[in-house]
Amino acid sequence: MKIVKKVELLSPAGDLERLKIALLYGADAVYIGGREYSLRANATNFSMGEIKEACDFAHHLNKKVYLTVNIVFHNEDLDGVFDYLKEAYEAGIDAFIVSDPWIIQYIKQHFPRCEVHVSTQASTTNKEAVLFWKEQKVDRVVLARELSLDEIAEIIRDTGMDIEIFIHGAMCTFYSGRCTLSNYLTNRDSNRGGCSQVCRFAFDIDSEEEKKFTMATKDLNAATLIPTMMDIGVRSFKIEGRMRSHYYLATVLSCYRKIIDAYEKKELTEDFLRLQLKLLNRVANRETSLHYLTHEADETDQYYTGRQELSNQDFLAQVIGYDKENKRVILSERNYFEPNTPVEIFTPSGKTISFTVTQIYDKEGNRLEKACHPEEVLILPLEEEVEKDSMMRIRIEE
Amino acid sequence: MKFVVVPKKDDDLELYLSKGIDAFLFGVKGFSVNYPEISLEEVKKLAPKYPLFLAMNKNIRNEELKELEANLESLSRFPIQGLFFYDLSILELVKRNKLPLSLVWNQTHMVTNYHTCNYYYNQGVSYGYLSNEITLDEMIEIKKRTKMKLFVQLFGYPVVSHSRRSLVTNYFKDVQKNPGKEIYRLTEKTEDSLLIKESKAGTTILFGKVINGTKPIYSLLENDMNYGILDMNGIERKVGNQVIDTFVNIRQNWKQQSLEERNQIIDKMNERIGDYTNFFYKKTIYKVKKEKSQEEKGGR
Repeated sequence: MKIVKKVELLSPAGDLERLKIALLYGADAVYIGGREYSLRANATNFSMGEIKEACDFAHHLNKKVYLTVNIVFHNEDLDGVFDYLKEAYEAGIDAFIVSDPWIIQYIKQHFPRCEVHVSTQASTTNKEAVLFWKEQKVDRVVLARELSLDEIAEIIRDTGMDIEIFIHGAMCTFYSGRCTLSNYLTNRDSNRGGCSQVCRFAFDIDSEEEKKFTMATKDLNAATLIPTMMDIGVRSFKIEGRMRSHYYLATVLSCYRKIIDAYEKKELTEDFLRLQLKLLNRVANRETSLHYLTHEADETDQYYTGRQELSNQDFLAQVIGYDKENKRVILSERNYFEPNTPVEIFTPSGKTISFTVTQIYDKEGNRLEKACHPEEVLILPLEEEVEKDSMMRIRIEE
Repeated sequence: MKFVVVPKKDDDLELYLSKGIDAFLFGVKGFSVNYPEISLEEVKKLAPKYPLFLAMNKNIRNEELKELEANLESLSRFPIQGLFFYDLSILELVKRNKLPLSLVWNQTHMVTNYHTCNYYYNQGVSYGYLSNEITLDEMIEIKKRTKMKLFVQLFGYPVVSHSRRSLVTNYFKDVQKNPGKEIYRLTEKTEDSLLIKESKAGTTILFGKVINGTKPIYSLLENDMNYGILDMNGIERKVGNQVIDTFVNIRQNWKQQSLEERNQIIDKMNERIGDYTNFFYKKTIYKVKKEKSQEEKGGR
């Protein structure tokens, strides 16, 4: 009997705090970078001790942690990599995400408990290439972001492989692994984690045009395609952005979790999906598109028409505790709000509690006219108990 | 070292052979990027007469696999020297169908270490085209630690990136005009520039300076590097011929040349084609040290 695997929501996590937020808000698994061999060399990343803590935390929730070891190795990177893999394995990593194939055999031979996932860095764009990876005993392939839904469906149908698809976040302009703009213009090695995002620069072009030449793309938002992708058998939905904020992660994961769960339960309605899209759009800082999933990408998928990067002010505070005795929520402030502001708190378990702010107090009990100091501890009366790490935002109407 | 020329479409191959060039590299029509393409019919005509390497180095889509498989089958019947590939479907199909094709691992920016060279060698891939973004020392170490026969680009514009997107067309649609040129030059704040061009397979960006491999070729010869690639695309014919003459001369005489003679040759080539040596002597970084604050620096 064929075992039908449950679809996975896979989140990035740039550090332990983000990892905990991601797992609490609905991710089934997280992908993280260690201090070495990851394509985000300049992010905070995880020490080996933190990797162990991350795995313990995730496994306690029956969730998984994947470690990116997806640089394109140079000779000098080879020293120490085996010890590093062994330490990560012993720390409890569930899968390694790789792009350089020689490492696959080593992992399979020495760490049989661990899965190997081929990174999107390998730009796998067709079913024969997937079959190649399958023969190398790879457990999952993260497909290139240049494929249509039909192509993805055909690959799944004809290979039987576990397939992971990017569904949300920033996009590369070029095929992953096929871009060294950073190397040539900033001397930073894009395939070893030094990408300086030259594709987001504005260039002069030697034509009569005065308008700068840019090649940056809009972000991806595939929320509307989740049901179709579940139907065709996509195994894992991947969200991009290891350095995104807690609020961003909480919002995005919460929305996708709800869409996936609702569709599984056959309860997904158009109104519900529209609300989730609205929430996702509000937390985005760039315009979004479906890119190749639904069409051959064209000028409408790029920022030629003038680029807007929005700063989201919806996020008002993060819940750091609840005083049951006095029925008060304790918050860490993020953005300005004042009494009479209509707000809502959304929780890791999926609840949304709407109310209007009546009074605001500081931690000494002084009443405030406004909340305007980021990270200040604030106290608000609230009848309903809410979980730690819930997020308070401006109320967003359907 | 053998020299492989990537010719312009209408170049005189006989002339190149007479100058001492050992083989040519063309793209296979519909399946390559950044190489001048020839059809299977042309391959059929050229292969018996000239030593040919061919390239199928684009990212392949499902809908192209049938045609790809048929093309591979046809190519296996021609006397070609080897097939440059990027997409792993090609390796998969050649292995599965047991086609007698020598393969050249040409994953442009990923041929960077000896472990992976050995991995592909064990998969039956005889050749590798080293990435332009590694140093001369790295190339030599790879050469010493793999049985794979290796190619190094010694001359021509290096490929920087490749996209499926039509970036030039998209830009001109936005400004509501038609592109008027085949290649555009992009400049940012530095003196470096990029060349951007489009084909059916998408958009390719090249660096705006040609690689001058005159200095590193001496070390490569000393270390028995197998092949040097000389890409004539975008190069004036006269300059291209001078470059070929110089490299062939070095190959013949390098053992007898004094240091002074070598330096004279290098200087002369620098005058002709510029002194850009790409990453042969320049290591890329990827971990950027954070700037120290004024306080940490001891300033205000």
